[in-house]
Amino acid sequence: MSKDGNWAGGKIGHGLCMAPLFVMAALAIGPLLFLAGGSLMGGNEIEACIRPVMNGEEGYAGWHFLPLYPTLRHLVRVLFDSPEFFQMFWNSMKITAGTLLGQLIFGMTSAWGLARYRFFGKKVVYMLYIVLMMMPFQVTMLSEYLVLDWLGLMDTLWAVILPGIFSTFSVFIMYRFFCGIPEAVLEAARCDGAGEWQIFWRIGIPLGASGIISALVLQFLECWNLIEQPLTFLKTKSLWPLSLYLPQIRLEEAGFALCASVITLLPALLVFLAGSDYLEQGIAAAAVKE
Amino acid sequence: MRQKKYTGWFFLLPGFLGVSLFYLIPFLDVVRRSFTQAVGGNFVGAANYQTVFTNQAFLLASKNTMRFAAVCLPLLLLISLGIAVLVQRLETWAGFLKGAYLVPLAIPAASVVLLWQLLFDRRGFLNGLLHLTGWDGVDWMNTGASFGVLVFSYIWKNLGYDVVLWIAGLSMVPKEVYEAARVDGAGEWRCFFYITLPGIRPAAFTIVVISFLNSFKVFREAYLVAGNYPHDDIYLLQHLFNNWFRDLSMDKMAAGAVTMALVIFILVCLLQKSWDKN
Amino acid sequence: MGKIKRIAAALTVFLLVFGLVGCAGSNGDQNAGGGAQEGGTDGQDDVGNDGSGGNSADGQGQENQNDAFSDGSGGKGRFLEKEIEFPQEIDHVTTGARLADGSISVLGYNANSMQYYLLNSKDLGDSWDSKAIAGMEISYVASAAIAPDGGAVLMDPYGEAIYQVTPDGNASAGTILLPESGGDYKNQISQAGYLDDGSLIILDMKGVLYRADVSAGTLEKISKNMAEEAYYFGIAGNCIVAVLGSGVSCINGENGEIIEDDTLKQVTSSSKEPVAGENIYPHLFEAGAEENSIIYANHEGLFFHQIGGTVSEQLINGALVSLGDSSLGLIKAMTVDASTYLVLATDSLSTPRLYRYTYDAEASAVPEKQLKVYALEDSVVLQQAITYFQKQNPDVFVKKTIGLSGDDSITAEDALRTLSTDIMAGNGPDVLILDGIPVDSYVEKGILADLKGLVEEIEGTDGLFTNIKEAYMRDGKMYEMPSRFGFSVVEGEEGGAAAGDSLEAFLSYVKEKKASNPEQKILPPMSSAGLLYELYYADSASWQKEDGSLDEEQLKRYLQAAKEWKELEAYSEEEYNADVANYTFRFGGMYSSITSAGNWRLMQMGIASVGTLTEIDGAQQMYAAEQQVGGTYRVFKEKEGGSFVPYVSVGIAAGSADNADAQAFVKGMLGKECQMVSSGAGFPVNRAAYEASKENQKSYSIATSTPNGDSVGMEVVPLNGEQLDLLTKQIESLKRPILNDRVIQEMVISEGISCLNGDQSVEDAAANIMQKVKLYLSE
Repeated sequence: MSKDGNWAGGKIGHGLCMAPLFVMAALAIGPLLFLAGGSLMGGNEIEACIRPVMNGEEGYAGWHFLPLYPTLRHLVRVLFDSPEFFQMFWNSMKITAGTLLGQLIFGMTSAWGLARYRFFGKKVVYMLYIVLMMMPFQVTMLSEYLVLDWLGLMDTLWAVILPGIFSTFSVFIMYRFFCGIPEAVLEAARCDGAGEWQIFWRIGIPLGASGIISALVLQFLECWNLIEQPLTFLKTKSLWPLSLYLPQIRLEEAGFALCASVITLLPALLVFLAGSDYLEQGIAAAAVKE
Repeated sequence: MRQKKYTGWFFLLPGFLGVSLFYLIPFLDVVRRSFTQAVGGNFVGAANYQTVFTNQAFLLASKNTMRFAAVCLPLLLLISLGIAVLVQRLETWAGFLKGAYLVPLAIPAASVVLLWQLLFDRRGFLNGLLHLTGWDGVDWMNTGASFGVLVFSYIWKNLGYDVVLWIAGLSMVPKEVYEAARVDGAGEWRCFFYITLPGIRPAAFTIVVISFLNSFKVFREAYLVAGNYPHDDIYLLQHLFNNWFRDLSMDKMAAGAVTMALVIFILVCLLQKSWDKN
Repeated sequence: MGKIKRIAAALTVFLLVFGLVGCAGSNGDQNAGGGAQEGGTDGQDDVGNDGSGGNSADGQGQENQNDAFSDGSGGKGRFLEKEIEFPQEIDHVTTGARLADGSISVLGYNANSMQYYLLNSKDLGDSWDSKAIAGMEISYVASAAIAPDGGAVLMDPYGEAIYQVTPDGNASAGTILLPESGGDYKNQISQAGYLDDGSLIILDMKGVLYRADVSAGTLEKISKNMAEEAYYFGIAGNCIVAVLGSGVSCINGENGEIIEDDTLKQVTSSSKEPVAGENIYPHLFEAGAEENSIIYANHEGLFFHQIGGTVSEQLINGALVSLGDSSLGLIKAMTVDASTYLVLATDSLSTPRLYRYTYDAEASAVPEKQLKVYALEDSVVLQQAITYFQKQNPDVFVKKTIGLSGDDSITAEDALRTLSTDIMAGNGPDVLILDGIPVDSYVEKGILADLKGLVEEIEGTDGLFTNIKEAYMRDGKMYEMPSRFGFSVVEGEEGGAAAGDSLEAFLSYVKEKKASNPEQKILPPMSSAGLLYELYYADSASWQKEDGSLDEEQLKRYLQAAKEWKELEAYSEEEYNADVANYTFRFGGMYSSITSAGNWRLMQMGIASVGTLTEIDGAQQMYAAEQQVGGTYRVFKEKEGGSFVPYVSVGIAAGSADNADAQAFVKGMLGKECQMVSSGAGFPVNRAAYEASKENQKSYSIATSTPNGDSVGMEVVPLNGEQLDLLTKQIESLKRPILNDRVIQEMVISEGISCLNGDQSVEDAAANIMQKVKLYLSE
């Protein structure tokens, strides 16, 4: 396949096709720049920009992507003068790390079992997982609360971590990737006398690695942005994760809030950067290498 | 096949127990509640369903939720597929673009809300821009335009992920097939329709399901921007469930949720069937 | 790109592993409360525990002790509170101290005779030796301090009249020359205190600390290189514990060196500035019982901190004692020994309070019984009720849960959803403050208990405003009862007050006035939100139709009136903002807005206004203004029967209907003693408390200035019998509550604001509200 020449006739057409790509990219990144710029702005500058919206005054809101008078005041305040910010940051970390680790154990095996074996009830379980995945949280909130209360987990981080571990979403993602491993590879291993567990361990995990990582990256975002679950299941505020921190944004606090949200989104962005290659890798590519 | 009947369950069971405990049992409890009184738990038969099916708010919310899914799903799938195909051909910038599209997914809801407020307020950036170019402003959040805003924010947020998934799907189509086709004189469009589309079919199921799932998640933004009683056009099922919850109307909420689950189940079944057929 | 990705991946993995380690570490010490993890926050779980338990709390840890309270600790030993009486002649206190000889000294005052007293007690307050201070001619003591030898110093604000008092009560005058302020105000002394070595420390308005020598009249800066200004300070031995912008710092009083202490720095996370000229402080700092230690007290409790240590230990949980009452002004803490502390304070009526805390090793560390109280928003009224109950029932811990703390991204809907879950799961509160909660749904679902018997019991002993009570009867039962209320009045020129029978009549009156005299300001400035709330309170009682839906015509009239009001006068932005500062309420939080109407008229900004009257003091101020500029006030819509604004309505959960503590709590809240406490937030529903508040009226003067800079003032005096009778009659004439549905109110206000800002017409705003209300009601 030629690199660019054939597409809709030459360079101009090429440019025309590519222009929307960059417009879209600008739309996607714009808000990030907006947040970053805002987090470096002094209180007065932001206030002047967003007054019309917040106070309903005459005129329209405006914005400078590059602050006129940059300041690190907000950053200092978030990082050094807000101990609760750090506490919540670590809570988020714990919730996320706990959930992801649990998913590595339970999610992966479930997905492997569903994907590679035929057994009674497989179809039903699969459909059930999809439907459960789709249910809005409010629906099962009360019943989940009762279960957690019964287990004595209410108001501990486990109340958020455990349900997260068994989220069917990641099983669904990994399932697709495990399905993509050619049966022939497994059969070959079986002929060599490998046990089922060995096959999973030696072949399933390496070949499905990109799927596993994709699932984890997506789950990371889920965990990082949890709102309803911690709010309902954690009464002790010192256990709250960062997603509940961002204060209701008021005019006077806008700069601080912007700065806090930039710091909040950094880990998620980092994870994306690190994992984006895996996200897009198809299973086939990996399988061929073997 | 040497595998035994139970090997699959052996792998599945630990996870399945957890899922049962934290999702299945709660869901069954919701099903039970849909047949009982909100408080006290007396059995009332299908009375809750009757109430819900004649409830104006439920009908409106269901209509809006379906309309939203019907509009935004195809739109997102098409746009993201288009972008994926284009990005895949790029030699430079591809990494940057893919990364850029993923950024919105990482922005926390509370910040998105601030952005939307500033952007779509009566006195927001967008109206400021329109004003400069001589147009009249639009009251984005309080008119029918709010539906457009919702669709936009859904696409904005999920585009990157869908693009990446499509690219993953595209990379599974063997390159040799294209080359063979081109040797046979097939044009770009023919290649797309006869090789690409069938090739990404397996990936499409996952993408559709995930996009559908994400269409429910747009609620948080809608709720934070426009409150629990937004414009009539973007009043979704979750708004209603939330409000019922506030008023302790668990009976109605359970019946509504079970109905919703049933519809989702049927839709996913149909989807799965149509995939299996080919 | 590849490199960046690798670095990103490494960082991510690092963070996650770190998180995991933290997580694993936490599991070990996770106890019933469910787990504080990071070292400094361990105190959260054991809040309410005793000092000997060795628990700790840092600045952050104190924030949420009500939520963090856990009932699993079960240990023994707790500080118990005893209130100490002062001699009769003392009706105010300025400061106090523990002297070098171990006795307790307090500087008291009698407001009628304007006499200062030096009190001394050798038995921790059980008996007092009182000496009148002689030889002092001072009109206003701005700050004062007691020396370790039992002498004292009293100062006017400017350092021009400073009296040094000997331990036996003889005053001698002196002066200090303060440095210029450098601004356009005259520099003042804002606080004074003695180090243990007897040297006097003062703080000026610029936030600079000095060592003062009154006999020589000289000042010497404590720390020459201190860049930050101090808001206020406490003294621990020879250390000055100063509250700076960056947090609390210990300064060596002898050489001015700052002693590094990061834990202490974080004690004051909020409210750094004390109320000016009141001698009360958000945090009190004092020497601890051990070498090189301090204690600090605030509404969260009393804490012990070893200087340089990494944790603070909570000795006394504020929620269990009077300290938790946020309306209490804290003056001075005193350390007697490791098991005895005193706190001097003043309550909302300026009555002096002295609490003695002694350690009781036999008392259970945490009261075994628990009473759960829920409110969507915190209020002084609720806090006072809790403190009152806590005093009566030291063996019951009141666990207060506030849905909206205001410092997180929780919305009211989120909070209510969580409440619903708790209730449905059987973990709901015993007592509910129903402001902002969907009462109708709760009643319909059978969540609330019938209060009728309870309320009638109080009615039998103290009496209640029957008209208020009757408004809450539903088919012979009663599920909620407001503890306080206000009502809309119209105040102004005779004609304006007479026009207060409807919004239209009032508006057409003021428009007529404006037409005949375009130069004059007819209406005072009001922000959009403030105006909409005010008129909502005045008008909304009659909006709802039989079927629950709203009357669109009435809604339009209301919006129209607000719009015309807003458009009548062209006030500048600053003038509106002055008003915005006053409107900090949500869900009808109470404050008297009409009292300012008189002020506005004195300032020639407006001749009539509509607002809410919430206490006798408000009426006093209106009469005081009328004394000068004439006019009168009436209940708004007097002819058809005025409406009232309920505040802090209380209900009991059905599951706790037989809970004696819950009943006692409600009885206490509606009882005379608790209702008598003035909070500026509504008239009491309790008749006996209302009668008593008639006796508590005060005289004072208010000064303000007109836009041209002329100063105007008024003398506020107690209402006479006739005026009081009129007020009582007005209250008794109130017929029904306003439309008290949080959801509808929010819809009306938010659409109303955009209507007043000119973003939509009255018709559109009314239509939008109708559409949303319809949706709301159809759920």
